[in-house]
Amino acid sequence: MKTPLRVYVESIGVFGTGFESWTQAAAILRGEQLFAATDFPLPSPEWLPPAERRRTSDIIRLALCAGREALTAANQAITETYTVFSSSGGSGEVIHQICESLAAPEREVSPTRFHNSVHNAPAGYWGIATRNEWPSTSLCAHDASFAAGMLEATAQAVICAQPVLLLVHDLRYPEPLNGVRAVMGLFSVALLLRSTKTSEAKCSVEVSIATNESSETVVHNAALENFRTANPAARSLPLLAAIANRSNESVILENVNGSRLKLDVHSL
Amino acid sequence: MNLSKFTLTNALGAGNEATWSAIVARRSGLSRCVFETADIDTFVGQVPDAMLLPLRADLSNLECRNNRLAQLCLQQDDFVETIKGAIAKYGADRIGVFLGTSTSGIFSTELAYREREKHQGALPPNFQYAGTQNNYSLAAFVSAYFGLRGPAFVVSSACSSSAKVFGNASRMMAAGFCDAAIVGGVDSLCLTTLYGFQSLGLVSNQPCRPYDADRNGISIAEAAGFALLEKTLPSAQDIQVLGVGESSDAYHMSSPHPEGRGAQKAMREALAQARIMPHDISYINLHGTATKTNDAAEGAAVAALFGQKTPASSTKGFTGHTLGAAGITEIAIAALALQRGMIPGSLNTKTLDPEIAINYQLNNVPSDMHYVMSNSFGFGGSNCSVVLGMGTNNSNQNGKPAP
Repeated sequence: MKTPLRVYVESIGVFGTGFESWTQAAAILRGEQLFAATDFPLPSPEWLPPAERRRTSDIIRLALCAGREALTAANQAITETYTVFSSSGGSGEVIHQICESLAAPEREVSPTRFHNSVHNAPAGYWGIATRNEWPSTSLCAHDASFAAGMLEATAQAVICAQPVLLLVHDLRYPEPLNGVRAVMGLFSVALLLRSTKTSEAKCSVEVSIATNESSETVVHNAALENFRTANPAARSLPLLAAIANRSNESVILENVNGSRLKLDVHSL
Repeated sequence: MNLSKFTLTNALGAGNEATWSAIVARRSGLSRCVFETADIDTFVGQVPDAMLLPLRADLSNLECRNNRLAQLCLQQDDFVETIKGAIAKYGADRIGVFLGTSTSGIFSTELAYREREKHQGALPPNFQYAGTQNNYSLAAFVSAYFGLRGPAFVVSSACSSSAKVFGNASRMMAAGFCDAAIVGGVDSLCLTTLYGFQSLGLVSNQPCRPYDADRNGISIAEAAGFALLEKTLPSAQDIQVLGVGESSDAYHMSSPHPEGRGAQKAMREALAQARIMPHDISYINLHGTATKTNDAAEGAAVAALFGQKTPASSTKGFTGHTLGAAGITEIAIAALALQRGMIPGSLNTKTLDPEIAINYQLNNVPSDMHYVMSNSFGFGGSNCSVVLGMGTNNSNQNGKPAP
């Protein structure tokens, strides 16, 4: 098969610092609303059974709320998508608490914290919430975690011919981890991708790997551009801006190993 | 997809021969836990610290136990020469790197947290987050070690991580994003997993006894394993990856579905991709962690699909549970079993659990095999089952599920 691969974006979910929903994010990205870098409280995932809901960490709640928005908007049966989760850091809070416990003489690690410490914890809770038994993967590529997720989700949508929900999320670390890995605020994006065009499709995206000669696409708003570089999941903002503005353009994302990911967006 | 080359390093030693000769000699790599300052009554599979040498000077920004173990493993079985050959053939930008780990270099962060008092609550200034704790550190290390510039990421889905990467590689190659891929994974001992599994009551106070009626938990271990996957046409001696079945339990974060519903789905999908029937499989390398619930659930799933016929065993009595490296460790052991014509019998298992009606193997048995399966299941209900073949006419190379 020849690259590029084409997928259609059918629905979107967004939650994070300054963003309450995709509708509101689109208005900000079109310049109709101002971006204010304030945090909204993370909604409690009411669709999880109470016992699981109580155990959720911040990154799990962050991932689930954007994912739910995307699925609700698409009217997609929640049990029928493959899922690709990607995050640079997972839950810094959980790692911090475990490392603090291990540095103390008693070394008492909470069992709930330990099972929430796995990078695929959001995927596990998502599965429980949606009863979705289809394949799910959980990726990490440091600052390029959105690009990695996009690459894998595209390959799955085309090669496996299944709808794929891509969920990418990152949030700030507590001190002292924040001192060695500065992540700003919180951001979560969910994209429902399909290899075939439906009446719901917002745009097509042709995905290919490019060399580092092409320069990264930026966001033309200083505050948003600052946020894009300060939260790995927010590296998705140039793609979201292209979709919000219904523009036809090539979005270039920084990928690993000095390469780039090229997303040719065509509005529908 | 051809499994052109693979290499293993774990508590049994460095390189494939160390693992295989220990299995033949029925020698365990597990020993009483003396890892760092851990005070836990258990057995672990530890690679001696003396073997974990500093990283190559140009890679010192990635210095951590996990990457040291990766480096040791890469240096075995002519793996470096093989990758150099692959770079000459495909180009450094056409080889993907898809690796699994569950805890990466978190051990470095654990140690750094003990130094906070000396630094007014901060972490020591020489602590490098990206090269240690971040999961991507492993793929960054392997990419940099060979100077690769292709697509790369880490899959971190707990104990299924380094099996699932075979699926990622097959899709990336089918999509044309790369022509070959290095897959595998590394997990190294750390206090997070030792104390974490202990808090869940899942750690055994003896060397683990998979599928034993009296099994009482896992033996945590460290390991590394890598493989080169290519799309070339296989010869009769080549090992092919014929199916990679993935599924989710959608049941509980740290307990498997009691009937192994997700495990069954993963095994069925792997068989469907390989276009074979359950009776074609000559040996199943089970996940078999030796916890009460895991072995019961997996046993129920295997019994439902394979009945009491297909020989099966867990090899965790030899290696311990290598967590994020369990997938590659056991896929490689299944590949060695195919190549050497021997089914590895379980180690430490004395009395089979009468509640689990499968053909569980306690002894090494010579066997002429064509198809084998390896199971890996993890926290969060993440399941993966891989089918390998050798000397078959089967060549599902595109990663697509069978119709």
